[in-house]
Amino acid sequence: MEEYPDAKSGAAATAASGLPDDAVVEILARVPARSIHRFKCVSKHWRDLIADPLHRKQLPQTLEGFFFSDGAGAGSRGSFISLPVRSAPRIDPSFSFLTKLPGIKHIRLLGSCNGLLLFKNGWNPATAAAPAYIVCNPATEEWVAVPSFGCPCPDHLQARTDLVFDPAVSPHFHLVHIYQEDFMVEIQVRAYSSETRAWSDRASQWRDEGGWKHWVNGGGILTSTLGGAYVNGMLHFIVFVPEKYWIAAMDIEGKTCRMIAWPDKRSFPLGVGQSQGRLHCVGKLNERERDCLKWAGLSIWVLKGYDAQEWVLKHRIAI
Amino acid sequence: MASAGSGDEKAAAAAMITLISSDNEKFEVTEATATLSQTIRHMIEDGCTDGGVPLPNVTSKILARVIEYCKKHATAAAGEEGSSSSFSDAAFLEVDRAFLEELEEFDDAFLEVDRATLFDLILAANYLDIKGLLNLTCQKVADSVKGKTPEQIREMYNIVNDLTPEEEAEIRRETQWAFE
Repeated sequence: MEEYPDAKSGAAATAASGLPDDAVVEILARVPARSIHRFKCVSKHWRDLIADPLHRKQLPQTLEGFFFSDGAGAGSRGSFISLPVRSAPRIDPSFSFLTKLPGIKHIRLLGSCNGLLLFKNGWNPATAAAPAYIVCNPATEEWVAVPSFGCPCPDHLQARTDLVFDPAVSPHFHLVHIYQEDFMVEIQVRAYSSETRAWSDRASQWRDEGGWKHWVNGGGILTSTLGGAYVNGMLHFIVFVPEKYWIAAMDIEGKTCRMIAWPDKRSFPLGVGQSQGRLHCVGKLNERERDCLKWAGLSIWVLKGYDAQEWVLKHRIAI
Repeated sequence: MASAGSGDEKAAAAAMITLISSDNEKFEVTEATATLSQTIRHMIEDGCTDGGVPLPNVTSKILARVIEYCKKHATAAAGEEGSSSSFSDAAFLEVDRAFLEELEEFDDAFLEVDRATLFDLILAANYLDIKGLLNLTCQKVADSVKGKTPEQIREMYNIVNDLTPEEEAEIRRETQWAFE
């Protein structure tokens, strides 16, 4: 204790005997979530270090349970499975705080981003004034309605809407609506900002960047049901060219685009996701049984080096 | 394996780099060894390593250990490249497996140091940007702290608890499951 007489003096203000914060975060990134939450009680410095949104992404996240949607269309509001080892969930898994609202019917879980959930509200002519989307925080039950961008039921070849939210960057969220009107035509992007409460008034289109034109002309199509992920300031989602899957990365204005090859040629993409600040992808492994393909397992890959596109297999699970 | 190793050494023999510790001790290393450090790799790319690379943050005692690590792992990296081109060769795979086991033993022995040295190695790995060494040393510390109580952590690292009892109670209430 004599060597560290005053916690407020310069030398002792680091988290652990002279290790810089970067190194302590590197260490904490390698301990289980339970330990990290306990370590918030070590000192003010440790508490603030662990709570800092800049570090939070690097640290293991606690998992209370899963929200999931079976993707079976309109009635699929989404469900919550809480992990049995944890205490009872402090959230309302039936989302009654949303479904009891007037004009809200048949909400469907589209996705999540950094703690917020995105729902699509079932549209019908009788409730034309009702919001098209709802973004909510299931822990606080706060919610925001987002209108559709004008054309309520577009007859597009493929369309998807993704939620973009990073509390470390901004308290506001964005919705990104991506659509393709037909085969061999550009993919168009519109973004909604919760700050301006408006959709961008003109769709931005990808033309020449990132090999996109070549890709579209090759008959590539957007996938509308496979999960997307917001990582490194870019939205990632899966696109398909006959016989090949790619992960497209774009900024929320749809201005830059980059194509990342799907790492596992043996698997069928189920989605991309984010964990500890890194892009992950989940694939379904198939096994040929006579003439049919049988579901044999899952593979999970993590993109370790974002720029070098260095994928590492994290898990392969047989089912 | 042996021929690949000596070939690499010959090629690298021309390019030696001098590293200078904070206490002014000089270490001659091959470029292959030095470039395990991203920091030094960038300096070499920028052509500013003539006359030696001063490392004012690293003592000779720690630098000697870091170089020991880099030498071993630079050989391992060269071995991996050699084996991937002839992966169908069962004998090569066998050598490779034995080498990886040897490397693991080396890493385990390398980590048999006191806590102060371990922290100095983390600082050096962080400063020199040596990913493998940073991972190895941080994992060692992580293994030693996981499962510990806040009290044990304070004791291990001489940390003064400056949280008020109210603040501590609030943290415990918010994440009660972590303390069960």
